[in-house]
Amino acid sequence: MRGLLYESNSAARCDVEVAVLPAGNLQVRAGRDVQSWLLADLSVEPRLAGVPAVVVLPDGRRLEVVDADAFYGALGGGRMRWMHALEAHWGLALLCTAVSIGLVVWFVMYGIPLAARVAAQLMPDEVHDLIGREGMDAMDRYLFESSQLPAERQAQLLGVFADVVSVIGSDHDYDLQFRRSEAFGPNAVALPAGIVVLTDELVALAEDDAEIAAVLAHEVGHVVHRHAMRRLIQTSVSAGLIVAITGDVGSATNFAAGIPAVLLNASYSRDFEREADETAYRYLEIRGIDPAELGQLLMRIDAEAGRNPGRASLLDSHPASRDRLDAARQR
Amino acid sequence: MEQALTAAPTSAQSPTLEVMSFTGQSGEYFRIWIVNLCLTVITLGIYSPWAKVRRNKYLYRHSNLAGASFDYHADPVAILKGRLIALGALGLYLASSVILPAFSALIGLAIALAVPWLLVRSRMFAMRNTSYRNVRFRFKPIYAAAFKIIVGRFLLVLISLGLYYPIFRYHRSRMIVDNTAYGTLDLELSDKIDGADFYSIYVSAGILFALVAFLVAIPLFTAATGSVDANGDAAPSIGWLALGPTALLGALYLLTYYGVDAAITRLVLRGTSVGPHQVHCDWTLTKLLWIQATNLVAILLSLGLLIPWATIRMQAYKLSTLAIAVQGDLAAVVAAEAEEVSALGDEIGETFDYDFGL
Repeated sequence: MRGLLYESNSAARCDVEVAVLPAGNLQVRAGRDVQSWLLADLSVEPRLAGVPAVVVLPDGRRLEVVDADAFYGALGGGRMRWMHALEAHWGLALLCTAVSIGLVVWFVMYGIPLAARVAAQLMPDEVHDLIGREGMDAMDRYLFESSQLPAERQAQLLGVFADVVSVIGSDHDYDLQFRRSEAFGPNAVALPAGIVVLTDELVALAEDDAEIAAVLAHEVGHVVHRHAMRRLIQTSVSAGLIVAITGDVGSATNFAAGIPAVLLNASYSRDFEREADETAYRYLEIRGIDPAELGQLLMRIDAEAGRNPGRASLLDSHPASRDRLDAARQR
Repeated sequence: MEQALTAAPTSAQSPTLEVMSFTGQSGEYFRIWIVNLCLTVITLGIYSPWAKVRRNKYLYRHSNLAGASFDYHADPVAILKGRLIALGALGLYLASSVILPAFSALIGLAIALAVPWLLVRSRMFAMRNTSYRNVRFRFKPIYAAAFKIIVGRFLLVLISLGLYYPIFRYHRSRMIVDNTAYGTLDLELSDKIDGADFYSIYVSAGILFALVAFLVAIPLFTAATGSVDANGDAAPSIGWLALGPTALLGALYLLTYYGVDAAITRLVLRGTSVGPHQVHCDWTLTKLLWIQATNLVAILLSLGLLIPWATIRMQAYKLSTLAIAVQGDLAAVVAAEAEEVSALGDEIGETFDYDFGL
């Protein structure tokens, strides 16, 4: 077999004749000079499609055998022959494609949410509290102002909240906070520490306390299911997964990878909202309140913000309000 | 020997132009890519360093110059260790940002100060593991010089509100080229290239971007939103109509970004010599951008399955238009003393996604 022998200390090379002897020796002949080694002493690189075979000699010289088929054939495949065998067949490649797509879809739909749920449950309460309080501090700095609700109104709503917590709350500390926020508008938010924030704007928009109870039940649902923490975990893990798939290929692909990441996080978020809605409905049913109360307030929030309540795009973090109202009416 | 005594050692004979070539094929590379991706997914990412080495070996060994190929030698175990350390550092940073925000600012500063070190280590690892004709490339451990440029000159960029950025890029490129060696042959960036060349790239890119933006995208945008105002139609459709021009502006920005990057790389390659051998680069920017843009669309539409095809296509074009004017004989290049470099800097740099390009 024809080969090229590269020196170890310079870029010089010469043509050689290579033979694999039956005794398990590799013989290299350059003109009259013949050398041979035990194959066991040599580092034969795993086979790679379309290029010469590469052998690193003990003294650092590099041998390339042009006819890789013949060389690896004589060796019986060489080290890691299974790898080249896998890579050589279209059928196996297609199988790998199917397995990869299947696994990635499974991870995205079930694996990551499941792992995030388990991790959020295993995480000590101290961590949840720390992250929750940090988040509250940050929102207070940038988003919220002090509430202007009168003390007796706050006391009333705290009573409603206590009732919600007593019915559907988990074994967890709950803390209702009142804030005002122009940027945030009529809204409510749940943080990992069991903190639920209600804006003055939402209180003003609600027609009765049943609607507020419905919203609080929804937020308590987020706390019960530890959604804030799960979202944090799912966002980081799914970003990591996408980088792992497309990794070290170039900036074009990294940009392309950003789009599925955004869609994925919005989809996770909508799942959480539905789960929190379910918990809220449970409270409303126990208290004999019409589940539609939640949906009606949502429709009014949409009207306030100038959104179309019937439409939720792939990018939205919440399901369409009309769908949520319809879901409530069907109960 | 007698001839060597009478003739001048170099410059007397004219150089031979050796054009590079790439023999990789997209079908072959797709199979390697997907098999290794599959193993990576099954092993929850643990296999990814082996996958990276396998892919790089394919790409390097199919890159040819003057009848010989390049090769990639990184040890997957070293890469795995580096990645684990990088992941640990990232976890520490994230955890501390939650638990002790003041401390995390300190860690952030430490990471920023470590960037020059990471750049050097990463470069050393990459060069050390690249060979041609069994002779390795090298990058010199120039930590102090790197610190001066990456931290010192970057402060000037901040102070000048970005105006100094082209000069910063120039010094970074010069540092990378001038401290790389192939065996005992030093790479050198020609003195003829200076900050002004970098400035002209940024200025022309800026003018082009502004022209297209003002002449095409912004009028389209106003037309789209204005037409809705006129007939007083449903509010949500404004968003959808404006999406086209917005996407156009985004794509335009992306193209400009790639264009600047390619123009700088071409400028630097053209000014680079490897000892007596001069690099020639015939990249056409429009052709490169066309390949880049169509690659991006193909990758998006195929949900990533065409990544290998895109990689091979880009590599084939880049190498077929790259050449070295070889002065004398490449066989005369002498290897340098071997030194071991850990993967630590390389992989931490990868995790924090710092741009290690030219």
